[in-house]
Amino acid sequence: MDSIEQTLCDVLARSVTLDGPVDAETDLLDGLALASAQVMEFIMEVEDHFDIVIEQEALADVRTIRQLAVAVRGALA
Amino acid sequence: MVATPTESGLPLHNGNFEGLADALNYAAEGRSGYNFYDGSGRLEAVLPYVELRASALSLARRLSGLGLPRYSRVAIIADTASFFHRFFFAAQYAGFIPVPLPAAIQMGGGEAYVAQIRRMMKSCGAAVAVAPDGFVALLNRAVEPLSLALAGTAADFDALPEAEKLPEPLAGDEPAYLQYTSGSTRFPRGVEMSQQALLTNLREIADIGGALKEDDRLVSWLPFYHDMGLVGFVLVPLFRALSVDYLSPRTFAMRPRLWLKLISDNRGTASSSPASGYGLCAMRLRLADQEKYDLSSWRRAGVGAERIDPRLLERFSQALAPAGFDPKAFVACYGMAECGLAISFAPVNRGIRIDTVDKERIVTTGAAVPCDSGREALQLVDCGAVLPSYEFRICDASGHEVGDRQCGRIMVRGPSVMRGYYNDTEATREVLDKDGWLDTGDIGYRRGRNLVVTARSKDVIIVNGRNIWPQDLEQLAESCPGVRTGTTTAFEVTQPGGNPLVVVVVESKHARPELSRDIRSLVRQHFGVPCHVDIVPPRTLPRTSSGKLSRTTARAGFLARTGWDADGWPLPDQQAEA
Repeated sequence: MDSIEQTLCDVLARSVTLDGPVDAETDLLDGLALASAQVMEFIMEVEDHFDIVIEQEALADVRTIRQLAVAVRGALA
Repeated sequence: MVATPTESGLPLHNGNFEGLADALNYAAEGRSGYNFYDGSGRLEAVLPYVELRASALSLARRLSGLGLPRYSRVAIIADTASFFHRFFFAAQYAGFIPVPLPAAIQMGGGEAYVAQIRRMMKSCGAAVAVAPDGFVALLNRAVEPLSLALAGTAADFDALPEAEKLPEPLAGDEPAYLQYTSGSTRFPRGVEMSQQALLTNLREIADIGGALKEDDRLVSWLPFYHDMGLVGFVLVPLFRALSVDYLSPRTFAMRPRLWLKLISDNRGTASSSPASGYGLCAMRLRLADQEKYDLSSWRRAGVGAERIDPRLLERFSQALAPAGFDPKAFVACYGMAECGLAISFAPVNRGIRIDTVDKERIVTTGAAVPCDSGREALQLVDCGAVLPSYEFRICDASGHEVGDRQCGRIMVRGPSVMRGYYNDTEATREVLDKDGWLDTGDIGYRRGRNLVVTARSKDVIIVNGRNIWPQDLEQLAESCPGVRTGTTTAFEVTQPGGNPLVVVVVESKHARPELSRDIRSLVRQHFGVPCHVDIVPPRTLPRTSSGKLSRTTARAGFLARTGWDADGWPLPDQQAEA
């Protein structure tokens, strides 16, 4: 995991209660069964942490931490 | 950058416009307009009516240059940004029909979104489509199998050559727009409103519902692809040449306090939301925020779009009392896209009025008998008087009119009822009879000319303000391997504690855990809500005499199995508190 992916895992663990371990490939929706309110909470924390705005369309095909990291890098660029 | 002023400098028009283009021509003589705020609440774009008119006219000439027939459909991915207004009004000037499309995607829901907008564009036969930069890749995926004259960003349209002449703008009995609020995701139905039908509704909303004057200023986070956002907060302000301040729905969902901040900073006077929006705001408010805002200017706090839960409004007014919010500002209303937006409005400056009725009687006989509040009482919100242009009646299952305080189907007729669902005579015939009566699908009772809505569109599932049709959930479940068509049913129940839960019941020989997981995953991907999957043995779900699954009976069976409050009425936890 690179540093952004690691940070995302940390933010995730902080913002929602998790049942099990999370790695870069864990499916956030099916694997962790996050509800939409939790997803929103998590994304908000991520935005605040990196001080970025992630557009919803950038999340359209995101299911894992690795894919989310790509969206974060896009917003940071 | 400076937001447009509240005062337009224009006298209120008598409202006799020939169409929306005519209304924009008038508003463009003043100083007011539309203002867009970004995700952190900073002013991002300002679009005075005068500039909107000029840029919409120029864009209309470019659209005209495409040589498309009059009434061609212009699909607009209705993100909260100024290009939306430009395309919507360019279509009016060019004689084309604008069609706002959803701009909301769930995380991981790209495929589902592409399929959804593709079905809508197919349903309306879109000739061109425009999306904001971020959505254009998704739009291109959606239009791939369709044959559009042009699909792209605003820049792609701005590169077109301008035609020399413009046709007459849309007016009179011509269409104003198509609105895909109604109908399921799978089978979208585009409400077709004529210019005059819409103008009738705009006038009643502005003059009676909101009692709007020259010094009003509107604030909204509602999406433009929903009737409350489009009609209430794009077209009503245009009709009265008022300024509006916008936040995107996503900004509101993530940072609801920015809504309050905007009203406070800009001295907003009118802003509306479904009850769930007020609830979200109250829930997410920090204690320190309460006194930071001054909400004393907020005179019309509209509430509608779903069954109104008075507890959410109560929480909101309690939380915001220190900020000067006046609960008398609440205006309950009822309506639907099939009538433009509004059917009834409670009077302004009164607040929410509750009708307390005997729960046992209303559940068993449909009679709304007033009683004292208590264990056996049900508290329902009075949605106010039906607007003067409508005739209305409450009908029983066999279509006979029933009297005061008796529940039945709400039927309306009048000049602001839609022409029909675009290109769908069958769906139109289901709701609109030859005498012009619209079957709203909603259940309620009357007290004189006042309406109390007890259940919205019998089957529709409403979670966090999102309308979900059980048919769509059933189709998703039936797309899983091993599930046969016609063996699933979906509905909503109220969990102990008051939260709604979406339930999908599936008949299957084997109660495989992966089947439940797949269905939950599909539902989350397509609708962004968690659901409970109940697998039952084959041929155990109740069927009607025609062989169809009965949702009502299946729901009652599910409640019996779980032992929850079985009557399906809201407010179960209030009962517990009493």
